[in-house]
Amino acid sequence: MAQIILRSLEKRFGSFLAVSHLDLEVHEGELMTLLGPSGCGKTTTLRMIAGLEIPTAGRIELAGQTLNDTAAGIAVPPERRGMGMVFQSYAVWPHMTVARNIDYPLRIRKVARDERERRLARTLELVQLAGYADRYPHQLSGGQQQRVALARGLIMEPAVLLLDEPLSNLDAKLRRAMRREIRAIQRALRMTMLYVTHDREEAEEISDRMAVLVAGRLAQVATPAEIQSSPADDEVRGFFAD
Amino acid sequence: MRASLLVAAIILSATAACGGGENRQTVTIYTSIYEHVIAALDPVLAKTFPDVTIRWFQRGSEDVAARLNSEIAAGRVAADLVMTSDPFWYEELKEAGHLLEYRSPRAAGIPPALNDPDGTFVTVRVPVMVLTVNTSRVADGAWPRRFRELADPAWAGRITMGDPNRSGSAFTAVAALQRKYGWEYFEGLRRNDMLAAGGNSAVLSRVMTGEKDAGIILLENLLQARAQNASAPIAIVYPEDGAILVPSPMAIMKTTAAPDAARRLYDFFLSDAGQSALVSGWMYSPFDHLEPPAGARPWREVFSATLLPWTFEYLHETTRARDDIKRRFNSIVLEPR
Amino acid sequence: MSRFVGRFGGGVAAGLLAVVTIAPIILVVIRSVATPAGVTWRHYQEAFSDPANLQAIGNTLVVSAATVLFAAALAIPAAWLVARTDLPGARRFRALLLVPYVVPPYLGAIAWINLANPTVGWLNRAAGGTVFDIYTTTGIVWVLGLFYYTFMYLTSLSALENMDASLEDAARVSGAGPFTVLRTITLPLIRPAILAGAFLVFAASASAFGVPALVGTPARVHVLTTRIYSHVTTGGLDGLYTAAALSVPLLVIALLTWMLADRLGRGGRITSVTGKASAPSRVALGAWRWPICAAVASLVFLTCLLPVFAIVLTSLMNVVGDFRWSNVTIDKYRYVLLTRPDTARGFINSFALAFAAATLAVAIGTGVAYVQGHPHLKARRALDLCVNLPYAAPGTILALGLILLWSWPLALIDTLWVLLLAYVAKHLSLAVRSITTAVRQTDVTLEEAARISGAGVMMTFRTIWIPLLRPAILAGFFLVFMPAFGELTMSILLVGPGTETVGTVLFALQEYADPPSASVVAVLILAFILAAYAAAAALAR
Repeated sequence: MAQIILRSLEKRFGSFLAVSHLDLEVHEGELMTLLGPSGCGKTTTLRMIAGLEIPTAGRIELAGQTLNDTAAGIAVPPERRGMGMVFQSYAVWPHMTVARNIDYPLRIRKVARDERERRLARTLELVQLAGYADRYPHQLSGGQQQRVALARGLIMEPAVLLLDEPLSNLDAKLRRAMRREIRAIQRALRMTMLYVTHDREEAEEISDRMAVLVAGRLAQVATPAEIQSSPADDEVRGFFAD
Repeated sequence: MRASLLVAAIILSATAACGGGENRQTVTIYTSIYEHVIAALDPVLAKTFPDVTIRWFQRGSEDVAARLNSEIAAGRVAADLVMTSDPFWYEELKEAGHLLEYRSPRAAGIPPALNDPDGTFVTVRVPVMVLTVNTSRVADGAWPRRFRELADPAWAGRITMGDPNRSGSAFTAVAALQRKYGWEYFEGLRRNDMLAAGGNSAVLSRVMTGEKDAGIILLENLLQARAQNASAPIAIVYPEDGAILVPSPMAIMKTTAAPDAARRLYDFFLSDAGQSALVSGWMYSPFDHLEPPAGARPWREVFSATLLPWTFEYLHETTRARDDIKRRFNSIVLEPR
Repeated sequence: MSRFVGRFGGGVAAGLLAVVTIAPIILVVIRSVATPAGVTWRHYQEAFSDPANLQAIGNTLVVSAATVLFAAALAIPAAWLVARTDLPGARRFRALLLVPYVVPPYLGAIAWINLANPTVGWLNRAAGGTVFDIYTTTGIVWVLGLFYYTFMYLTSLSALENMDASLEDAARVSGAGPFTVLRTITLPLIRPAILAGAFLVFAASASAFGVPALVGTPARVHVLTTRIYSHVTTGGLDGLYTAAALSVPLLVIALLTWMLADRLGRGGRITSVTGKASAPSRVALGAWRWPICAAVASLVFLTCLLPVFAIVLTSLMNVVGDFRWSNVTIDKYRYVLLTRPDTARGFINSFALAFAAATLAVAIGTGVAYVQGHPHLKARRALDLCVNLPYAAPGTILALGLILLWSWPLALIDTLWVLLLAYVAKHLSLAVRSITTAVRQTDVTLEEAARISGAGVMMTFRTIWIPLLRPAILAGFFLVFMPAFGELTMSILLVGPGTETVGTVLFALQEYADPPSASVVAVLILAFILAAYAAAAALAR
């Protein structure tokens, strides 16, 4: 069953067409990567799904519910989409401790204290940050901050987790370890993840399916093996060539 | 949250400062009486009028007049009672119909020349303009003895007075001196580069510090300075051509919202208690039975030998020429050449 | 529906802001030709047929230009010396040279009147004749320059400190000596910053009121602000309109120079921020090190120590100018604080007003900065105008506008409210700048992460923006509090019975009522402002 459905999605910035006529379905429980060179519109697409950008045309649905419909003038604000998101810059709040950063979504929803603490402990465990709860972000390494950002996205156990180049600020070794962890967590929680990256190797290793975007246009959607064996066009082939 | 509470507190305090209570009556007094005299009056007034809140606005008389004139022009007069020192302005206000007629029973003992026959204002105190000199810079024999002498070349660069555009007593002095000696006298003062700025206290400090050697000044400033510091290097010179009286009126504005309270205050300032408070602020009383201020010559001695006799004719003529006198003075003395 | 409410609320808020900030200034321009009695050029004729007013326009330009030159002579060498040389104590000098920035210039006028009065000034007494005469056009320039050089010093200093030092190093490697580098590389690179500072000094000098009023009036030197003041205070209703006509050239002068400063400042910022590759290599002053140090120290002595010394000593003398021990007394403090009811009232009013104005300014400023930080929100241009116009316009004109605007039908004139409006409008820009800078430096994903986490706009504002911006909000608070506390230019036109501020109490004492007592109020204001400055510095740490 399709979890996320994008229909004729379009985003213009002035005269620049960032995303053009995009149709895409993401299945429940799969990890799909949005792959493509920088400037291809993958981050814009992700931000539209998150509600951080409003499409200039098209529809977005989540589990049968309309999130955006430009024709009907529907635009659900980001805070009512119940998604999680991990940012490239981590976006860890410098004025809050690790625990406060991670349980922020629960506090916003006024989740009872014992429940909050239980889930915080479990999530810290999951991202291997147990014992760091009372630290401040500036006391953490880049990898640890990244885990805080991931934990904040996971704590609500959202139907969908959006990841925007989450590992691009880490060094190569750490990056490989983290993506295995993310994949393990995704499998364990059977969570739908949409993962933006420009790193082909990363996408191939982590994805169930990949959506390749070129210049704001969806070029191909398929499993990593399918794309390697039969690229849809020259541009996709070009991207996978080197 | 805390910030908004603070703002609320500030707004409340501002409202309190602007508004005042409901049952109490508020009387706003525009005056040129010195702040220290007001401070001495305040507790007495608070005890005598527990139901009246008194707001003072204190400036030089001509500043007060300018302000009240623009309030009148804007149709929004804040003053209830006015007590400044330029008698000619009251005559002007009276002719324009801005003053409330009130014949206080207390005003009976005041000499007729100092009491408006139509009962719209009355002289409440009589400051006197005299000469002063810095005793450590000017030897006894060289002191100025007359106003007239200040125009002599000997005083070039050494003399000062208040600004008649700001101070009512300075204006009254200018009016009297030009009537007596003509504008040539002021040409002489200009040649001597007379500094005409600020009020009488500023004149006092210029002479006391030796910035200037001599000046035209209110007697009360000299009396007070001498009382505070007997060794201050200043002398009082009662000019031989006669001191200048500045009969300073009191009047109630027609627009007052609290005429009863204003009348009660009017009576108070004319009562023995009010008068002695003013006399202890070193001003003469218009009632000749009261003692002169401490350290000053007796009433009759000063009042019988003034530069000009105080008459209704003089009052009326000067009132009509008031703006002209200022303009002439400014162009002769104040403006750059 | 909620979007409509949001838009409507935003519109109302923006409208209120415009009424507070730009409406008074526009009204001055309108009233100069269109009075309630009809459209007329009469007030222009009146204003510009008076030779005293024409002279004032000339004096304003001369004083402002001369102040720029004097300020440049102080500021540029000072900035270079502390930023680029091995001047002993450079870091301490760097901070000390900024002190006049927070002190109201009229305090300097009072100090220099004591020091350089032609007959009894202490410097003249020490010299045994009239060597210095503060009551001259030069005197005005002297006092203004000793305060306003800080504007140029600040812009030059920040350009120097943000400049990529490798640009200078490259010249050194190419064979240029330190002074050739200064002439051919450093000065040309910071020229936009110097010019921006120069225009700021010009605009500030043209808008200054306290110094020309205290120093110029006895010398019969009038400038536009003092002429406008005297038209407003002594001219009745017609005087207001003549003052409005006279305001227009001053407004043009101030806005033009300010816009030039702003444009150059922006350009300068872009070119200078090229990242800091390395710490700049400092020029060795060699044998000149100590003589130059003495010169900088004497500048600090002139700007800070000597004036402070003069007013403190004056405030403690029974008879001013009598230097014997027996003449030292605290009687004047007793007189000013206990006998004169207006002093305490002035301090209470100024404190309450400055506190309220600073609180309101940071509240509005946070909102404005939030909008500025969100490029998709409309009306940024209009907001810019609301914030910057009253800051750039001379205070005299803003105050005149408030008198015209709030006399009828809603009479706020003569109340503390109108002073509060004046202070907020005038200083809002300082709070907005402090907070906007912080917003720009804050990663917008910090906000987005909160939205994704389920927080609405207001919740995000409260839990993310406010705590992140707290240091900038605090800084903005003090940046507004200090100038509002000592404000004189607008207050002198706006105070009424019972609403005196410390500035107006001091001005009335110095200029009219009782100059020796003025030094007491001056000392108290100075002490208070320096304490607030110290508190701000301590909180910022």
